[in-house]
Amino acid sequence: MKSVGEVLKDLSNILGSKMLQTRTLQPEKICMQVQAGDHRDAIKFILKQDENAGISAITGVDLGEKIELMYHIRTHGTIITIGTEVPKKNAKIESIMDLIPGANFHEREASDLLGVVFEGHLNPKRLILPEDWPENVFPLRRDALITNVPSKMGNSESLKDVEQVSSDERLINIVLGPQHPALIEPERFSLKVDGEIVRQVEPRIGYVHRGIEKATESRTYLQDIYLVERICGICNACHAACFCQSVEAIMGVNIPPRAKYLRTIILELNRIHSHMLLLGHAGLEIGYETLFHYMWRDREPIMDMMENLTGNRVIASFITIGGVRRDLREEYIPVIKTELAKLKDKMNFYRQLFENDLTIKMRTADVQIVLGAAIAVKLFLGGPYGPVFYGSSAVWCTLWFTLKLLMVIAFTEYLTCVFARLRIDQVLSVNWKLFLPLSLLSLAAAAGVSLWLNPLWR
Amino acid sequence: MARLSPILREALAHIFKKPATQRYPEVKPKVSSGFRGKQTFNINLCISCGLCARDCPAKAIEMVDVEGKMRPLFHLDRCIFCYQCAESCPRGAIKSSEIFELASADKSDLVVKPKEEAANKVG
Repeated sequence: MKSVGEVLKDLSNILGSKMLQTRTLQPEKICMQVQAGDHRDAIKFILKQDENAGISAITGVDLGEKIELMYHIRTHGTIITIGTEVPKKNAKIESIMDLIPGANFHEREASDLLGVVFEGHLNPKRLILPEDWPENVFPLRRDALITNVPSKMGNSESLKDVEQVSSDERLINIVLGPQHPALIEPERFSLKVDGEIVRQVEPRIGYVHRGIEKATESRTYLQDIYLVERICGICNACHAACFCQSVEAIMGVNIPPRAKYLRTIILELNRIHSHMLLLGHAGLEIGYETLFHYMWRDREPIMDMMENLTGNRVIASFITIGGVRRDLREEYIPVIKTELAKLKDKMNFYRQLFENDLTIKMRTADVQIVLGAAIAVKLFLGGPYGPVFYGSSAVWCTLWFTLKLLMVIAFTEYLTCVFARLRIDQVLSVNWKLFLPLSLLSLAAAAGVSLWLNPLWR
Repeated sequence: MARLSPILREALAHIFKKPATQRYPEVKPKVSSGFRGKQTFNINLCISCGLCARDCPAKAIEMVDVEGKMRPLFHLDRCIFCYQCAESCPRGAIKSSEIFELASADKSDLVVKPKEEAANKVG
């Protein structure tokens, strides 16, 4: 495996004069500037070195006459940023979707927000802006007049393009969302399903796009800290840290070591409480409310620490440009240490619980199969009674029931392994074309037989 | 194999323990020192520079005329309690308090007027 420095050296040899400029910001962050069009050569070369290289983001900046696009490529734990400029009047650039399919969404985002056309993109639909957004207004361009955009105009076009059957006859298109009981936030998924198997999915996000990037443009750096903190309340310190680090990098400021330690402490507290929140919520989702309550009870000391350290339970507002806003009070340090030691024991307990607990196993692996099999045994297989010793002791009943239950479970597992489940259209056609006429016929036959047997009609 | 879940022991032990929850409206929780609650404003320290209003990310501070001088008026319904105002103030006229029960059915209750605060200080 080559180091990133070597990759960069080879890259400059291959691109030659096409490579305009390189900079190393941090050991694991490298920036380079190329002409529009040459970005594909650079990405091809990186992919040749590391086939697992992927794209983290495509970001863009409006420079006035030009738009700068930055492709952030992730390879071996390093981010290589490939920057290129396109004229704003005729903002066109070749798509890299054929090289990295994941660039699909990033390119659509850039074309929505900055108005760059990606030539060769297979599916250049909107991703973030609503369908009824005006064609030539691109919010992240500096000259965009977004105040002139009319507010929502009734039903969006996106709801009309629902096609039930795709061109491929085998696949059925099912649209999930934007409003759906299973979704916490509005998103739309266009699923192409073959029976129970999802073959393709096309997500449409952006229903809750808040335009924080645009909002930060019109505020001061100081005000922006408090805005970006609210991207997500649970992990708020991360966003503030990220923003402040960027501003400090622009300013060329080094923060004092104590501030670095304090930042680490608040970020770690954020991480711990966020993980505990998630694990507790996982318990709630599987209906294990006891776990949820205990997990969140044990999360409380962390929230208290956050409050003591920052002045607020949730939104820390602790990190600022150039350091942190408060110091840790000396007398509070032993409290943090003892609480964290207690929490460590508790987390070991939860780890044991997640690994071994019967309830979690039952509700996450082979969900509901035991209950379904038990109902089937009771309804169709004679419940707890066996062919011999009918109505005998509880021991025999338990034995018979367990035996039948295991048989049904084994049979179901076997069926799911061997056969694919029926597609919904197959089930429906059997229902309407076979079972319905058959049941009507049987009704008529039953009526005929009972009339024929009736002595009054003889 | 089918051992009892360890959480059962935890749940049983909890019957005899003090509840983890607090009896909130009856028993008021003690907030930590340095808590970012309702602002207090000391008009005697204010030099009418307006830095607090300029830096406020939520635009919750309005500069109003009090006896010929511009003073900050806090709209707590917009305030996000970041306390950038207190940090920006060159004279330390804005301080946090431990008052956190700010829910109100009337927005006009959620205004910290500079004049009233001054009157309170005198009285």
